[in-house]
Amino acid sequence: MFDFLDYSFNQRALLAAAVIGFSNGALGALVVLRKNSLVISALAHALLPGIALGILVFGGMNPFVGFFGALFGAMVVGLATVYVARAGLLDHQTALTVLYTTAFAGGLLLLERLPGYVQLESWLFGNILGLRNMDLLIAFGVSFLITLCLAWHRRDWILYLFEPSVAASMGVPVTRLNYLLTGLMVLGLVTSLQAVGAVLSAALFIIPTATLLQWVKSPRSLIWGSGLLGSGAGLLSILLSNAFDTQTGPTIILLLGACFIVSLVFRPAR
Amino acid sequence: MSRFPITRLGHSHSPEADHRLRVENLHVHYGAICALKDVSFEIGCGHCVGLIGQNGAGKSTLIKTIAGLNRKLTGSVTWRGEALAQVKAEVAYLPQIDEMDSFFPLTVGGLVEMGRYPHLGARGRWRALDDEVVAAALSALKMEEFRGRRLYQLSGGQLQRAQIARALAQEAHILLLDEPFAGLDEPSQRLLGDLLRELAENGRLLLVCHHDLKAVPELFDTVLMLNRQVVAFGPTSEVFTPDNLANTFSAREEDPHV
Repeated sequence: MFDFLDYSFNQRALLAAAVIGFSNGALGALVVLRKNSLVISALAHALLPGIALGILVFGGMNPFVGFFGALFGAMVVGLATVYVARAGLLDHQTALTVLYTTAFAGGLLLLERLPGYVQLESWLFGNILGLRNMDLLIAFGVSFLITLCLAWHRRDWILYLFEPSVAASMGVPVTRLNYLLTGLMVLGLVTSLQAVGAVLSAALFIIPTATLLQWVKSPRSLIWGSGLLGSGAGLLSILLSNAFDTQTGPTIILLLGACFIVSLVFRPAR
Repeated sequence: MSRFPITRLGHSHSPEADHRLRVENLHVHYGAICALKDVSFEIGCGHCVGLIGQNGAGKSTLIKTIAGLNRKLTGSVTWRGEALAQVKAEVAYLPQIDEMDSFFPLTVGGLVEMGRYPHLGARGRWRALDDEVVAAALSALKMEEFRGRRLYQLSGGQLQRAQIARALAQEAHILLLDEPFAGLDEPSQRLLGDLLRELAENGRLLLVCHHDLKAVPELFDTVLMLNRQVVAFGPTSEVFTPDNLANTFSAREEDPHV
């Protein structure tokens, strides 16, 4: 059954799925508790024009161009959204929708001019078996950074997520955490883009937490439990997609979706 | 009338001369709108102060500003001679309970433990002392049996008491409560009123936004009547008068006459 591990691309995929599944699942708990589930879907779309711009500027696709392009696109849209919303001009979701659709439209125009559309397709739908060593290294780095930030501010995050106003009155740097969370979401999205693609990437963040929300009694167990669930689902789906010869990205999401349905059916009585 | 053993927390104290909250020349603007104009008052601990005024009179703004949530202000808020922003753990802000996300994955125990966070910082080690303070806060509010309950399993009055237990666990001297009686039934209101009075008698300072005029003399020993600026401030028996009420609830002019 484990013969497929003789191939290094399968080994890389297994490692990547475990690591990305953990950090993005854990970060997803913050996204859900902050009621940012829609935001992360929108951000995932905002990455693409950034990648297109990167390819156009640097004349070709490589992991750095993809990574920093995506980072640039999402940072611009994400941070501009936080800024516009904080300035009290528009509510957060309206600001986000204006900015990410505009950015995406610009990205579509750029796409027409690009060579190598096939490569870009793997950003849209993910290609975890196509990861190179450098991609894996970037995924490790991002996952480590996310996990570190979650652990470093652990009590601050909990106060901030539950009641931002009370947190601020206690001296928690709420504004800084707001920007930090947005920045981490972008970083996490870039790594899940490679695994499952832009269209499905929000699911890696949202479904593990949605699955556990009925079962846990503390934010801490929700955060780390979601990480473990995301990681486990990632590992298992690499095995399953090999055994049944299915596409890896959709397999991960379907497995998580199945976990969610099972958890909903057997949820504890309220 | 029930008595809560609040003194068990050991951090209560008799009112002292230096325990004074001083608000001086406070102005708050939201864009072109003036929310608070030249608000000044001073009070020592050991009082339960009602903030009385109509909607938009600035009650919530005042409480949030004292809680340090409002950076667009001029004037000063000091506590024991220091800027209140420097001693954040001494102030507990209790928002309206309907602003609380009761489906957040949290138990009563977890909520009360949050009161220790300002003392521990983001990563500080949880100590045996913290366990003791949390247990004392829960027992002071007779909430021990609810410790493992999720927030959505509580009534409004119980939620309010859980919030107050968090403030006690924080060892806060000043409690800022935004409409704590809103949405509570009659017995819960009476229970909460007794509790607030007792907290004041034990040396804490409570500032309470309140819009229902009926129970004011029973609930508060002091009132601050607010109509964007201070209409009257002092012992309830002296300043809670029909004249002051009329001024507090009069339509606001551009520059209200006091």
